Amino acid sequence: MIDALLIAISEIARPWPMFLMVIGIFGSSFFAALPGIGVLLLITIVLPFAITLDPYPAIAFLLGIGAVSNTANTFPSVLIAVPGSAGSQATIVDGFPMAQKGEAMRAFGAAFTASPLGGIFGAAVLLLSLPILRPLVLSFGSPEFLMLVIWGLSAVGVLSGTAPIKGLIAAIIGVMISTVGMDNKTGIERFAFEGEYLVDGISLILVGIGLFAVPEMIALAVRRSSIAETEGLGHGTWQGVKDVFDNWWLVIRCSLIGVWVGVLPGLGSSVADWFAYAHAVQTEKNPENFGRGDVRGVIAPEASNNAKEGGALIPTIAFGIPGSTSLALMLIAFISVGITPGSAMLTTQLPYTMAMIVVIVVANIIAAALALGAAPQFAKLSLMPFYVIVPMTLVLCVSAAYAAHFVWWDILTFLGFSVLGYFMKLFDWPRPPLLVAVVLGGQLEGYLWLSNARYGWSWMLEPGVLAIMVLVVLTLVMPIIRRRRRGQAAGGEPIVILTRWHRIGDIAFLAAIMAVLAAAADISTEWVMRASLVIYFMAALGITLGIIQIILHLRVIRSSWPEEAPVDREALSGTAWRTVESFLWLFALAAGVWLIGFHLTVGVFLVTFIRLYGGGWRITLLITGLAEIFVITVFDLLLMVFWPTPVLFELFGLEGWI
Amino acid sequence: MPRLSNTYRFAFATALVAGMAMSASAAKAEVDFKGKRIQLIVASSAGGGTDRVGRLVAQYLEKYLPGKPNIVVKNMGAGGGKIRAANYLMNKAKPDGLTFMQSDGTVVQPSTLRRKSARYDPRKFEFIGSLNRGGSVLFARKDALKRLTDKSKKPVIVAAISGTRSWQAMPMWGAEFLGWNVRWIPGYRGSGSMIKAIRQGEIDMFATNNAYIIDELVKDGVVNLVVQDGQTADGKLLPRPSYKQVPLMLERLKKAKISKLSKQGYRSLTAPSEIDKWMGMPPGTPKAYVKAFRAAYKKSVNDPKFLKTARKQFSKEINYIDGPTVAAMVNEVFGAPAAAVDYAEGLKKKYGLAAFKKKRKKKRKKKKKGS
Repeated sequence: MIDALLIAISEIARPWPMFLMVIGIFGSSFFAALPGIGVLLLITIVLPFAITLDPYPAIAFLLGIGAVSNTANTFPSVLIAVPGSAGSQATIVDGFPMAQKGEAMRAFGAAFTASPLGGIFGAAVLLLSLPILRPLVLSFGSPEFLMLVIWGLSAVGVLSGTAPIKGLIAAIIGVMISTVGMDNKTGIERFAFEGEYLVDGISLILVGIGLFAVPEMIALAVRRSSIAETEGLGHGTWQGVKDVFDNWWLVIRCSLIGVWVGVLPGLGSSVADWFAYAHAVQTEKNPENFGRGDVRGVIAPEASNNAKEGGALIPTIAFGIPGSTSLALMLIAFISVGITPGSAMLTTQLPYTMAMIVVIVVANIIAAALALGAAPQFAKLSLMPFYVIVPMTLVLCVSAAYAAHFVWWDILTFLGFSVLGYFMKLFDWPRPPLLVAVVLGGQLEGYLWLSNARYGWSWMLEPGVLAIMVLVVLTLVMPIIRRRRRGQAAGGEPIVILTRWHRIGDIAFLAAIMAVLAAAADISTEWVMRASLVIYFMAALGITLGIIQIILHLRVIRSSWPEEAPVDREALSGTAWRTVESFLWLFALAAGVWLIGFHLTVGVFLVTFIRLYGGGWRITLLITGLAEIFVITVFDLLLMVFWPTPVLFELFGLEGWI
Repeated sequence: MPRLSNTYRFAFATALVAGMAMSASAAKAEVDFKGKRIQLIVASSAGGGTDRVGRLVAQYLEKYLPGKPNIVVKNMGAGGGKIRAANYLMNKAKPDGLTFMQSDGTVVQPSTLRRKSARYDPRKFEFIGSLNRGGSVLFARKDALKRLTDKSKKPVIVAAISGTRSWQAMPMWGAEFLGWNVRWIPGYRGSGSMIKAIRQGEIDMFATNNAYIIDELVKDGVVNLVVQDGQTADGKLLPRPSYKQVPLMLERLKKAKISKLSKQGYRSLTAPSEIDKWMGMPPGTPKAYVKAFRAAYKKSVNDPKFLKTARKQFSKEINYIDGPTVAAMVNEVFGAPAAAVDYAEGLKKKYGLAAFKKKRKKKRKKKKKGS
């Protein structure tokens, strides 16, 4: 084993592989920092070149790209609450409040220390588990996966904070969203409304940006300030680094979670960060600070999502079972250059395996150093005025929504989730449970079906299942016991204090959700039971919980009716107008893309917005110019996008113009 | 019509021929893609098998198409995927010779057309050509093989992703006509999860055309190969060269003397998968363009460098099928009586796999929602 490691090091340390690795890291960091574009596209672009390489350079290049795909995506998550990719959503929950407190640098310091540590830890686990690789992966069948999914869903309780009922309803909405599209077990196109768009389901990134980024930007536009509510940024980087070492035990635990989510193909690698985040909230002391800019809320997901990449290599090289599309592409490249995943990776091809581990470690260190170096420049964004940040972020959101498939429907879906996200924020609904459930909802239904179809109900008595069941119960019960012992109330103070009017609005919102659930159940009556059961169950549960929540609201409203202070009507209507105004800007942006195309809309939108809200011509032209250069470089030159013809151009026969 | 002398006739004929030749050469000269940007619609998301085939062929088409145009790939992956792409090619894409599509066998399967979202007729597409990566091979865990023909034992468990995978025809017709003792569990997410499940013993049987998957499972002693779909070469259905010893399912069925209808039903599922990764152009694309694409395609997929890469990336067997043959195969598939398709869908339903009824014109009755 030592021999193989030495061979690997000497092969990777040559100029050509090192050069390719550094190129890979730069490319990966650039793509990862762009929301919605992601590293998968980069791998698609380089694949034809990668398969012409020799094995070691190919490993250096591809893993240089793959291992660090979760490092630089922290930038948009922290700065503008836009998830850099589906794997960096949890960082927003505490990362963005940190930026608001003027602690962006501290968040970056922590993230870019936790990231490489997680990555290196993932590689170490890969190294140590080499001898038991194959039996390890094979010990998890559908019933065990089902239990792991349930364990993951138990995180919903923690992520719900002070609003457990709303958290559950949010999770139910998430499960419902996960059922949209073709059902594998019956072939029924659920909720596709006889069209093609929804057949493959709703992509997670649309839900993520809509739910998190837009509500924050609306709030910023209403507040009309910069993101950081402080004067300067301070020198927080070292504080962030120190935070990570102060919380070294948390880093190790979250890395382990990341590795495990990666190892088990089919658990949904985009939830590793949520698992880690929920774990931190469940186990750490003083959990009431989470969600308000607690640095541990950044450390936990960042350690886990880099560790995940090392873990995900295990099933890929042990059996040729890739856990994600990027890994599937890498697998093809590996086979093409003569590396055959399978048992040989532990015997004759052991040096290749070792080379992968070496590259993961080195790439993680380089990428983190790179990101730390760039952090001060990025952090300045949090001091920029709203009239720069809001339009730029909205453009970035729309481009991220559009970039997945260049279908205008995607933008429409994104708008829908933006509105949903806004109301959820307004009425103090926890949003993370919805996202987690979108990923795990489908898995829950799928594995429950497979377990039952294969084993009947006897799967419940499998030893692995029982062991995980104990874990689930422990995770749910332990925090309660510990709080009792310390005499704390669960959850702590709510972040938003709901007024009477909020509660009345929330009742209307709940009624709308219940109506949608009922309609969904009604639609699903046309399908066979196997496809509709989950809908009935979720709708029934959701409507029951909705009624309970409405009753709770009504009781509070009645009891507080005479006492509550009258609302400041003027301030309220001001806020309302600014909110409507901001949404109109967003809708105009979306409509513009549809009517006159992306390039033109971005220019017109940025110039009008920045000028109208007080930006000078210099900053206006600078931002617009940068945005157009970005669009042309990334979409036209790098990705060579074939833009759909805008409606107005089509109408006037101007197709050739764009 | 006045009588013309032979001389006149000769002169007339000569002029006519010359004119035709000129117009033909004019048409030929027209097909020059110099400085043009051609759009390749790929009916899968970036990174899928169809996508990789399409992108690889496109690299070579850029070289072999007259005028060396620039080909831009557009993925229609998630968000409707294959069917959306086919609908687009049928109804929206301009037949101006600057748009073509890479798709796969399931799109030209009669049962796919029974989906509500399908709004296209594959017989109208202008096929450029196709690459077949070899037919599927069905395998079973060694410990389960004995139970396959013994109905007194526990049934052999066949995994299924959904009813649309053509290889399901092998176990289905096996159960129906060869007395196979099988039970289906649909709902697996893809090959990866089935590889794991068959190694664990959660399932006993599935099929794929991916030689890497087959060879690894055989090498590790997990499975034995049972039957295969084979591939058509020179109009004859033959076993894949790398799996010569594995019998053809259709031969086994012929020996069992199955009816003509059930054989047609079997072919309605498996014949489209022989077409595999095809390229086509929108209906009504001028013949000259189609011809230019077919010629360039033929050169591309026979380029030794292409073949070397393709064999590395996809399969040891890469068979080129020319455009007219693809069109003939599609016509053959859809020439089968609706009863044959009904028969196949009926079997799917019988064994608990996703089945599609004939499309009804009437839309879903509109109920009042909410309340």
